[in-house]
Amino acid sequence: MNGSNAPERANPMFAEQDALGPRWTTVDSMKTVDRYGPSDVDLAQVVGVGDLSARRRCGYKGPGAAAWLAQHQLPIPPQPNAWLALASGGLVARLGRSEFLIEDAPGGTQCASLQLDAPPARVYPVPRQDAELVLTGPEAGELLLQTCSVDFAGLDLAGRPAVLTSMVGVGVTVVAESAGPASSASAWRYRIWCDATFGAYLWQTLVEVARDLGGGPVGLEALGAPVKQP
Amino acid sequence: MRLGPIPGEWIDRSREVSFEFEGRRAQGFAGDTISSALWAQGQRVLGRSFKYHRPRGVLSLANHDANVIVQQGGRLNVRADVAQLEPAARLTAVNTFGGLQRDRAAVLGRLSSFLPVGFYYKAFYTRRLFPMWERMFRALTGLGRIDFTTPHIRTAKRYDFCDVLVIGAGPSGLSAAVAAAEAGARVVLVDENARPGGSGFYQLGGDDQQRAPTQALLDRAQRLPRLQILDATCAVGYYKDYWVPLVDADKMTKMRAKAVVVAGGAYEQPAVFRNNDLPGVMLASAAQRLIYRYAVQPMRRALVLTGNDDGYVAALDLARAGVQLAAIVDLRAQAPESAAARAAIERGVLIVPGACVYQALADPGTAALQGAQVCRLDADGRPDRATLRSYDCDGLVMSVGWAPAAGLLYQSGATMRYDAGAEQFVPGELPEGVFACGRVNGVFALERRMADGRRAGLAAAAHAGYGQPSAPKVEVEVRAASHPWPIVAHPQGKNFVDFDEDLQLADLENAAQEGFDNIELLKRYSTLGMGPSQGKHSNMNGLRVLARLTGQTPQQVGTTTARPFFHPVPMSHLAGRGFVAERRTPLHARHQALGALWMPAGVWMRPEYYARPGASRIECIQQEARRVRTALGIIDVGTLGKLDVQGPQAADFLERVYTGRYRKMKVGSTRYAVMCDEAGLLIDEGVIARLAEDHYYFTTTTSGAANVYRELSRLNVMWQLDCGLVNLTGAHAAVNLAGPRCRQALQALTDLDLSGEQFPYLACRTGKVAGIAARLMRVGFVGEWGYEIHVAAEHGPALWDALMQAGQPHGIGPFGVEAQRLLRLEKGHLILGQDTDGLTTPFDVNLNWAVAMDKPFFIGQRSLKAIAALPRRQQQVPFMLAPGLQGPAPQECHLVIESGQIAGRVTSIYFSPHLARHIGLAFVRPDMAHKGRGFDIRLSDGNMVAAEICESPFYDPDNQRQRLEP
Repeated sequence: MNGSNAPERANPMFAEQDALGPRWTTVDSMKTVDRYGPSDVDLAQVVGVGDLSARRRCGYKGPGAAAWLAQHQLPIPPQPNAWLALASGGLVARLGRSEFLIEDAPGGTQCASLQLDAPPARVYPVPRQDAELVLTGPEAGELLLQTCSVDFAGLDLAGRPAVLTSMVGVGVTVVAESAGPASSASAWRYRIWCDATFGAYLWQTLVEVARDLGGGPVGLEALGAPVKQP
Repeated sequence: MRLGPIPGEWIDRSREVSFEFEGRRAQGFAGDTISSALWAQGQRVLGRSFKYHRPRGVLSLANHDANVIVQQGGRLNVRADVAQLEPAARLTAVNTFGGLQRDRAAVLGRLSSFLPVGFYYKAFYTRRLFPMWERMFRALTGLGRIDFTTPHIRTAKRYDFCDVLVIGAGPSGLSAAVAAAEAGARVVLVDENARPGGSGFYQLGGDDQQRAPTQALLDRAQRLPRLQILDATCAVGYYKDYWVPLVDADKMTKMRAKAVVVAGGAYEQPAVFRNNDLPGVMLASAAQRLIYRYAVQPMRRALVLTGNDDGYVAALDLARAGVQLAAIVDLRAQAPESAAARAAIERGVLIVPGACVYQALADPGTAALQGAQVCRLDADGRPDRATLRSYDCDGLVMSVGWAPAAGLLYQSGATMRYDAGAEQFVPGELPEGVFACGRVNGVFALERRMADGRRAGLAAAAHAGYGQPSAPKVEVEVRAASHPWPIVAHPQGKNFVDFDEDLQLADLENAAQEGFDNIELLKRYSTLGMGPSQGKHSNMNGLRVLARLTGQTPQQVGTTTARPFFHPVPMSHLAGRGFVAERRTPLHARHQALGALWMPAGVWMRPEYYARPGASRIECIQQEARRVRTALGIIDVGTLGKLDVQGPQAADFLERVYTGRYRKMKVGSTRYAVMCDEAGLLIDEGVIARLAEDHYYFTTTTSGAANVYRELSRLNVMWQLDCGLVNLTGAHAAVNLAGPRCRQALQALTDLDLSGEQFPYLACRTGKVAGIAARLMRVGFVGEWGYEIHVAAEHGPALWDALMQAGQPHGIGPFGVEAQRLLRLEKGHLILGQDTDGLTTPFDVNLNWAVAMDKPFFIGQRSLKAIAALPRRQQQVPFMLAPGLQGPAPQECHLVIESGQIAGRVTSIYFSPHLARHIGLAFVRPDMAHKGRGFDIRLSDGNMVAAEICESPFYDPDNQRQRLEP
């Protein structure tokens, strides 16, 4: 139901973020915080909570989904609960035996391209209206420990697992992507998808814990080039 | 008295700390505990006992001095023996009446003969006196005062993970942790003390060089990158699958390990003799901690009472601290041949074997110890008073035995056996992945403890997948470290077995005599081990007493059940930061801006109504409802569950899970649907729309959405039908636009033909509204012409804004959940969960028409066939109250009364502005369920209100308004 002349896409955490008086920018027709203030960079050096909800994404499930996506030249993670990067900067996450999440990098068109093509039998579109948060900084691991019961430090993150779990009572999908030298405390940044109706609660809760750890919400500017509109 | 610098001392002499205790200024050093600082300054009375308010001092200095608890501002129950001294702290002892020095309640000690064991239970026998005793006990008991203005502390709770968790960082724990980490495991080593090392740094026999082996191990541990040491952290429980909560000052960590090593050591046990609680009487390990951790001379002149070889080591440590040794009194018939004993003899210390302390003597001025009377033990082990001899001393050091710190082992499911050689319980069988080492295993010598730790560490690492369990077993100590009977009777009592609860030897004897001769019964009747230290210093002696009284062995007596938490946990940690998930629709901010008052609906927040200045809640609700009836209303229904099912067998799937028929529905139509469980009970309802031959879109109740999707997913996997289920609940925003001006308002935003002919009642269409792709359904839940409009969540606010703007000329306004409930009641529609309960069938609520019993199969069909053959138990009926009701109206859940008996209950009731009277739905007995039948409803105050069964819908009975164009 994404019409080409559709109005601006609403950010699921707009009100909560707007209350902090940030500077907004627009990414893929969705308002996104570019900067909260001059301390964004410092906060991100501890633990920053960013908003990547603007990215366009789509989902497909069903026994024919893997083959159909492969026909569209998408890389298919060989096993469930794994993800692969798209050459264009997006990703494909395999959430189960036959369910996939595809996400574009800012400005990407992979999802739009897929949606133009009616899926065949046994492939069912899964509209994705997620809220997406990103955790960055050396204390991101501690924030995860305080909010989620998964041992991320014990996972082989280089193997690109996609973790489907519960975080502060919300069903989430989490992937870790490299963010720095492997030996550094900030080696990984964590991207978290949840149902957008939980977005405000999840953002508020993670920001509250992040603040206790010395971090806080950060805009795209502090998150750096990898998450910005090209 | 503060000693000169001691190697490894915990205090920082460069940082003096001033504080206040009981209104008097005091000094200590950073690193001191409250008790060590006060003791260094000569303060001997640190607290009062719970029951008799006897003066108490240092006992264990190991987190178990249950009578030395202080209040620090809003912080209750601060254990002074381990709590770090804080600058400018203002501390008061708890459980005193008039202060520590002049506690008026000390008179209770003289009344002890009137307060026998089980006094509490006996006091409450007499019903008439119950209130008096209750008031008295409430006034006299309780530790500390709650400050209700204390701010809410959001103590963090966190998860953590490791391969091997080692509990206890003494010599055996350090050894286990190092071995496991060197095998490659990720190891966490926790210790409740401020620093690791345990007894390896304070049981030195007066020789500082004895620190070296433990220091070397600690240095090695600190160099291992995969070994994390957590100081001042207590492992407070053991839960299944190696899950151990760790508590420190700031947080609780739920540690999940792959293997657990319990190296918690053993609690030193007190001897039982008259006045064994005087300030100055302490465990040997407490004196050693004072010396080596805090550089405090525990006393000037000491009498050492021992029943093991450790007492001689302690005597040498005392001598190293400049303490004069009055004598070493050994309960055993002969002094040992140990090096420490020889060294003591060489120092000229008087050794008195085969003797006991008969009683300790108090200084009448200070209430602290001033001497002790010692006598020989006769052949039966009883004190021979004819041999009494007095010793002057201001300190009496007890070293008579140990009890394993096995609480976590018990909780893990380990079995313990009493080893007669070691005179202590040791692990029998341990669960897979749980290991023990050191003193808890009955292994006491330093080098043997380290070897045992290494064995356990390697085994734990191997269990976690690292290396091999290659080290040999270390056997239990041959020479007992615990005396089997360190207990001396005294005709005047005050020989305490339990210091927390002031339980004397005679109390246990009397309890057993009264028939409480089972360890669990004895515990509950006498309160043995039920105080703040949870029996860590009393259970073993209590067990020995009961064994002797009943002629059993300690093994036969057994131990009480060990339950989490093993050590008290602050309420702030248990409460901590809570996570209560909350779901908001995409229109949340729009409602907020319109003045919505929120109500929870499952995990969702929904507008109950929209507040208007000067209008009451009821007025607001009624105005919202009136607007729907006369003009145009809009409500957010995005909380409804929204599911897609697609595929050739989508219709088959729906026919199986819902009670109705959907295979022959026309594309572009909708149908009400009811879902039952296997028992034929109503569990959900909604509307099914057929979007294409192989594509249905259906809604569920707000609260049922998650469960319905989960169950349908399960069924889809089980049945293997050729269809796919997609949950769109969060992906779609949805509103219901309703009212006589509805069509005109919407038409301005869409190219769809909204005429009754092209888009009739119960039809569905897809199209664009305000440029947004949408699914539209003509439904009539509130009884007016209406459309349910579903769009992508990210476009929900834009849709809402467009509808509000287009509806402005038509008098649009939002309505909340309460107005919707009123409007639907006027139409006689039920709300699942409000008008039904967990035992309601479709037949009970007149939904027979929605149940196709002649279908081949649907879930619950078999049960409904059986239910249909049985007499009905209840029937839902619509009812009205008489117009112009005076006084309070009935409320939901008020009872229907027939001939004085309960005959049903009200499930919904509202005042209908349209009908100008109260209307409602109720369950009644089936024999009452006919139009015109009157019944009574009993209000909360007992008054009755008359009601009459009527027909529904109450409003627009022919359903003209939702079908025909206004």
